[in-house]
Order: sequence, then structure tokens, then C-alpha cells
Amino acid sequence: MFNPVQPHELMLGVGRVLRRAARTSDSQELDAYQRGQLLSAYSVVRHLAAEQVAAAALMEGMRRRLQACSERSSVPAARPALAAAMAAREPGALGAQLTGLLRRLGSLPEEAQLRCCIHRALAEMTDEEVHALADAEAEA
Amino acid sequence: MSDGERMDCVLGLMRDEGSVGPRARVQQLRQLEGGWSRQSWALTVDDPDSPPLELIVRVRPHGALLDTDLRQEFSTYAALADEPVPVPPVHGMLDEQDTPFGGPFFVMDRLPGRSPNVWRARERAELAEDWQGARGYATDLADTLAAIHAVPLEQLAKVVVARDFAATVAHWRAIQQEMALVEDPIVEEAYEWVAQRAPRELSPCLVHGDYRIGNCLVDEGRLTGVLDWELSFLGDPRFDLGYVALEYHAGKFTKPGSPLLNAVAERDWFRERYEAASGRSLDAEVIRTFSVLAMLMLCAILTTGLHQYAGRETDDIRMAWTRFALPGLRQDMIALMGW
Repeated sequence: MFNPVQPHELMLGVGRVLRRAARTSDSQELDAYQRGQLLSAYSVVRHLAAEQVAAAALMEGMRRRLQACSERSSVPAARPALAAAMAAREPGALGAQLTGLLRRLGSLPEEAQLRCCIHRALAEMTDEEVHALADAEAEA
Repeated sequence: MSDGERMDCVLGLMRDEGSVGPRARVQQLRQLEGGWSRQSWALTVDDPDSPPLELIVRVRPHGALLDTDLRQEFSTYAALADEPVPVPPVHGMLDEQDTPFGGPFFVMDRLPGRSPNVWRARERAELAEDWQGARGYATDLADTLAAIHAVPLEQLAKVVVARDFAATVAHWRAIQQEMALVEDPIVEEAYEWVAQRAPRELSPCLVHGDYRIGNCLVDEGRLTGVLDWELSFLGDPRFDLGYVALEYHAGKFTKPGSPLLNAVAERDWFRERYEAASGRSLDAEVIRTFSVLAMLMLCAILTTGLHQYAGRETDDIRMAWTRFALPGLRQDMIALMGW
């Protein structure tokens, strides 16, 4: 969910690798490094496709979990940050909001309870993300 | 730069070091797959005055993944030459940026064997077969780690960086923060978790820093070499034990890998074997802390590659591919932290 490098940048990278392969394959045998690049490019495309399919559901699932945390929370000062996290439209913004919120939470029992709730939400989101990416490997 | 220039450069270095005679010739030169911060080239040198040599040229290219010191790595190999740790002999180093390989390099022997890839099911099955049978890999992996941690530090202290627990956490956290393209609450929380679990320090040892079967060579059921010393440091030996125990190193990417530690040995067996060989008793809770720290190191390294890819410092597509390794690492960190 918080993965750097935008999809279109990845696709451009794949294109560069494939172009390079196309230029060399006619004239000479590919060496191990070049073959590795092609296989990695292939893997990127597969995982990227799986990530794209799952992205909206992952964000929506996280929004629902944070909503539940907010409703159970007795830390009023955290509500604006939770609201901002729930309103995030892309994973980078979500990550920034949650990082800032977790950094500000102290050790009072109600703060620890909210931290635990956010941890659980992140854990469930991560499990779903890994499960979605595993689908790409199943199709390999 | 042409292969001819590369061959001439290597031969010149080796003649200066006295490793080959004036009539030596390179018969074959090819770049190998793999290597994230280093590029590796294999070559064969025929010398009418001595037996042929199978060699590896290890290059730190411009835009290497990590700003690790090739001189330290070279010196570590040299310092281990007389120790009971299987490492290839080295033949000299050219510490200049402007070389035909695109950066400084050193030359070392090519040892027999291959590096197992635990992310391939077929290779995991081969390693499991060894565990069910002779257990040569498991025995050597544990005993060699104990041998690394027993190497006298007098020589190494001059060439290898020293980092205690706090310095190790701070080192990788600084790299993570410098290289991060997005904020990651799981990684941030993991750094806090690790920092609060500082263990009682042990006497510093040589720590490999990237110890796993994939950085070893195996041949005919035994471990024949330990490679890739670029992350080595003088510090807490339990770092290596936490690192080798990662699910990632048992072949997990998004799906579980081998149930064996590093796809090689049952976990309790490996711990007991290391304890017997090292005379050191291991605390599972401390190893858990080091496992999370080790995953944070991996996250920092992968994040560095992504930063370089996004900044067009490299067009190595593997650097971008690593973004898909991060979710599995986060999942494992979460499990170890008990969220």
C-alpha cells in the first residue's frame, strides 16, 4: 500500500528493458544478466497487474477499519488525523497521515488502545495486500 | 568500454600483484546475473607458466545500490584468508572510479559450487532433501557462522566498521529516512519497537551482515564458500542469527517458503548446533528483536534501490521489482511484533 514508484514509471521501465532486449536478441545471445532483466520485467508486470486490481478494495477496507477505530477511540485529538487518513485517496497520503498520528500518540491507556487498533488495521490490510500479490504468483 | 579493455585491465592488475605471468591471457569474460550493489564478471585466465585460473571480478559500479565500501570488502576477504572460514583468495584491487568495468573492482578466485536460490521451489526441495539425509548444508551453515563469530578481531578492527546495537538501528533508520519516497507507518513503528528492545550487549564479533545460504556456495553436499561480505561489521553476532531466521530467507515472497530455517535446517536444531559450536546461549526474544531489525535493514536497502530507480540513477528493473517484496516483509515484521 505504501510502495514507492508510480505504476506508469514501472511500465516505462519495463518498456526500456524490453526495447533493449529487442535490440540485442537478433544480433547476439542474451547473457545471464540480460535474461534476468527480462524475467524481472515480466515479474513486475504480473505483480503490478495484481496490485492494480486490488488497490481500490484495499483502500476501502482500510477506510472501514479506521472508521471503526475512530468510533471506538476516546482520544478526541486523534479524530482529525483519522478523518484525514480515511479521506486519503491514495496510499502515500494514507501512510503519511497514519505515520504522523502514530508518532503523536503517547502512552496513556486510551492512546495505547487506539494505537493497537491502528496496528490491527494495518496488519489486516497487509495480509490482504500480500494475498492479492500471491495471486500474481499463482498465475505465473 | 569493450571486453578487450576489461581483459587488459584485469591482467595488468594481476601482473602487478604477481598473480599471473607476462604470457597470461584471458580466454573468456562474461557478466553474471545477480548482484545488487556489486556487479560480478567471470573469467578464465590461461597462463603457460602456471595452471589456468577461474576468477571473479567484483565491481562497485556507479549508482550501486548501497554506498558500501569495496575496500572494506576486499580487506575482509584478505583478512579471512587464514581463518577457518571458506572464502576465496583475492588477487588485488583497483580502487579507481574510471575503470573499464565502470567503477573500482577487485579480483578473487572462483570457488567451486553454486549459490542456492531459496525462492525457487525446486531448489528448496533439493535443500530439504539434504536436511532429510546427510545434513551437510545445515551442519556447515551453523558451524561456519560460529566460526565467523569466533574470528579474532585484531586485523579486522582496522578494516571493518564497528556498530553496536543502537548504532545499527540508527544507521539503517537514517538510510530509510533519507531514501523513503513515501512514509510507511509500519516501518516507522517497527523502528520504535526495536529501539525499545535493546538487548544486553555481547562482546563484538565479526558479523557477516547478509548471512544466508544464497550468499554461500555449495558443492557436493557441503558449503564451499561464504561470499558477499559488503554488509559486514563488528557488532552483535545475534544479528546474523536473526537475519538467517527470516521467513523471507526460507523462500517466502508472498507465499510461505520452506518450514526450515533458510530452507536448510529445523530451527531448534540450528540453534542448538550454533550454541554448541559457539559456546553462546541464545535468547529467542533477543533473536526476535534482531529479526525485525534485519527486516528493517532489508526495507532500507530495497527503499534505496527504489529511490535510485525513481531518480533514474539506475535502469536495473530489479530495483523497481523490489517494491513487491516490501508487503511480505511488512507482514513478517507485524507477525514478529505481535500486532
